[in-house]
Amino acid sequence: MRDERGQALVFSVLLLGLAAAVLVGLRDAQDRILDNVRDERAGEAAVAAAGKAVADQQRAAGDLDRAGTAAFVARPDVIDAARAAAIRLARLHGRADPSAVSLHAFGYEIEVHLTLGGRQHIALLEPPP
Amino acid sequence: MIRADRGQALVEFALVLPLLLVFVFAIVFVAQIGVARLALEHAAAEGARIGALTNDDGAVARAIDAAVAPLDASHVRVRIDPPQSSLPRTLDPRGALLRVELGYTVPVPLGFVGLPEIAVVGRAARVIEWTP
Repeated sequence: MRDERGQALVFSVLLLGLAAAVLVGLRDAQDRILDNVRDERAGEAAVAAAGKAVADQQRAAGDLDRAGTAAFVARPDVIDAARAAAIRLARLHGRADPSAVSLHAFGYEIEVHLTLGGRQHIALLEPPP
Repeated sequence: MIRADRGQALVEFALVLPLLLVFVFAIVFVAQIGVARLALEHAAAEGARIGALTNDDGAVARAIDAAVAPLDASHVRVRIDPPQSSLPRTLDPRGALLRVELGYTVPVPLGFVGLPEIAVVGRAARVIEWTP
């Protein structure tokens, strides 16, 4: 009988340790999930801002045919405007600067690509009406 | 000796039970905070997105109400900066920055004993794309 003394206490302390570990793990998992969500949202906002910057320049450039669209997306000032807009939004969300900001022409359509937090984000711009 | 050991496990368990309950409540509470953080982050991003597309604070509020579940939308504090009634949103806001900040106070289990409340915040920003 003497050997059984404190058994419940030991079991309870083990349970408490388990609960503490669950608590810490839960908090850590939440932080990682939230970090991923923020990366995702920042990327969406950044690519939308970059797309808006390109769309404004596209409107200013007037009617572009296929060759004109291809030349337009190769213009350094257009790429710089897209990159600057994307960086601004990413920083506002407390994220690192997006990488691989690039523009691609597919006929009359333009795609803006960027990578943020390891995820690629794409915005599609249709030609202005 | 047998008589002396009687009920010992019960006494030990009674000693540890309050601490165990505190941990259980803490786990539930941390989970609630996590849900609130995720919901606010999602709702703020949705609100900012809708605001950037519509320049309409009413539409932003409706988007937040729909996206903030499972939180009670009536307890979510919404701050839209700049508001629709001020510049540059009253004229041509295209290109301006729209920020949405949401706040929510997570109810503390056993809060009646005077524990501090936990305030959770979600933020998002977008460039306004709407054209008048």
